[in-house]
Amino acid sequence: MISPSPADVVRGVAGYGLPHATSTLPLGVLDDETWNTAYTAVVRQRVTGHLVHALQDGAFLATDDQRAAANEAHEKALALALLLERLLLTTLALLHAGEIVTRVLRGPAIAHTLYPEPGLRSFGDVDLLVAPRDYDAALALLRAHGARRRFPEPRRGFDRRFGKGACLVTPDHLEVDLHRTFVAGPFGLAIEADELFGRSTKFSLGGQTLHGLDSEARFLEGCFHAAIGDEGRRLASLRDVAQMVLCSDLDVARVRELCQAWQCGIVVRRAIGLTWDAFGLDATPEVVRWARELQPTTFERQALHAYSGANRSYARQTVAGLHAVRGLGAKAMYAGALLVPTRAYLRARDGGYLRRSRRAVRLFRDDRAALQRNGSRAR
Amino acid sequence: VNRPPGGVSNQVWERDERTLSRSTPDVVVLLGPEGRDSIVLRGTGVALWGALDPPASTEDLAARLAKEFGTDLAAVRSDIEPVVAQLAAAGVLRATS
Repeated sequence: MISPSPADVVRGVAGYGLPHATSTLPLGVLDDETWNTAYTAVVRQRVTGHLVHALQDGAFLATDDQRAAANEAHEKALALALLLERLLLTTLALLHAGEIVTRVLRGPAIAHTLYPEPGLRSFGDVDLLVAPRDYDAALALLRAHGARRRFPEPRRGFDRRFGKGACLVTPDHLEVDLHRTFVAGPFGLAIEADELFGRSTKFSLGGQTLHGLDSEARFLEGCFHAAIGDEGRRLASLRDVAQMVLCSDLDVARVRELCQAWQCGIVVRRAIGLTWDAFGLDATPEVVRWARELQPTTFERQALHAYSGANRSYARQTVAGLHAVRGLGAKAMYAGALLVPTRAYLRARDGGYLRRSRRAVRLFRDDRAALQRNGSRAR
Repeated sequence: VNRPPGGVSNQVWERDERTLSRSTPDVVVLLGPEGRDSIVLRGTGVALWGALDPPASTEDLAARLAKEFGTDLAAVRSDIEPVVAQLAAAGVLRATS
């Protein structure tokens, strides 16, 4: 038995089957301690599909118990994916009956359009994008059918105008993330969400035709998730980015146009950097060469600061978002909602006005300092 | 639910297009249109699910699987009849007209 680094094992699993990957699988059966650590991470990172695939190919050597554990974990992931897809279909039926146009984001849309087998891409919730004009109606419709918000919005109308969206919990304790845009904060505010509904990628599910984002918007959304999403579940997102770059057709000119319009080239650069490092990819397609040569703007550097590093938080991203809000009136409304939110929001997020005020002052002060640092660097 | 009145052997069955599924070489996981619990097929169940595309009667399914696995037709028929009935009851299969 061998005991390589569990982190290397998980990276090897997440990159299994990817063209140009130099990350490798262990050459022998793992000892119990290494297996247990790696297995836990594989389940948390939602890459059990690649592990089972590697086991079936004989590329990952394992004891009978290890193999049984992997198969059992993957069956659970598959069963959850089906429940979530059923939830997706019932949710879409409700929204479409209300004449609300949607785009399916992430999990199911990626699984059915980007991977040779949808079972290779596990997911833990449903993500739907609705146009800002339909956002309140969509939310009201889903709440009328039993879904409840995990967190209240700071003030009425904030989410529709400035927010990322809302996480809704269904009576069955499953989650639907209703998005107005891809991410909270400055990057999310810079995206022209209405433009995302002009094109789509179609896929079939349960006898119906669903619409995901078009290839290039889907790539940028995937880059956001990979570059600034939950680090504990990053490998599946990095694999998505690699799949999109290496195994799908991307119109690089359109990617560049969207990056320029949404001021998010730095996100693509970071996502590609993390992906290429994680899997040791030795290919340099056009979009990779472009991203590596990209010179980010001051806005992009400042915005990324709010999402990365030890101090990343939803609150920091929201404060940094003030710079991306267009117009003085809108800025005042945005800042006012965050400084004096509703009591329900406070209870859920900060506990009280005094604590929130102290935190807000600290964040605004940190944000100004970061601005000055990045500004002088840019000069 | 979808059980035909005259028994299952000559009834032609098709997968309900609303059924959601995931497959690996060893396992097929299914969720029927109204189902809350998924159904897991293994071994010959995986082959049975594969044999249901295109639609087929239980008799045809048994003949196909008996040939594939080199086993006795009657034994295969008696093995798959309850599975087909269970899949029909779960709404995963439906009887074609």
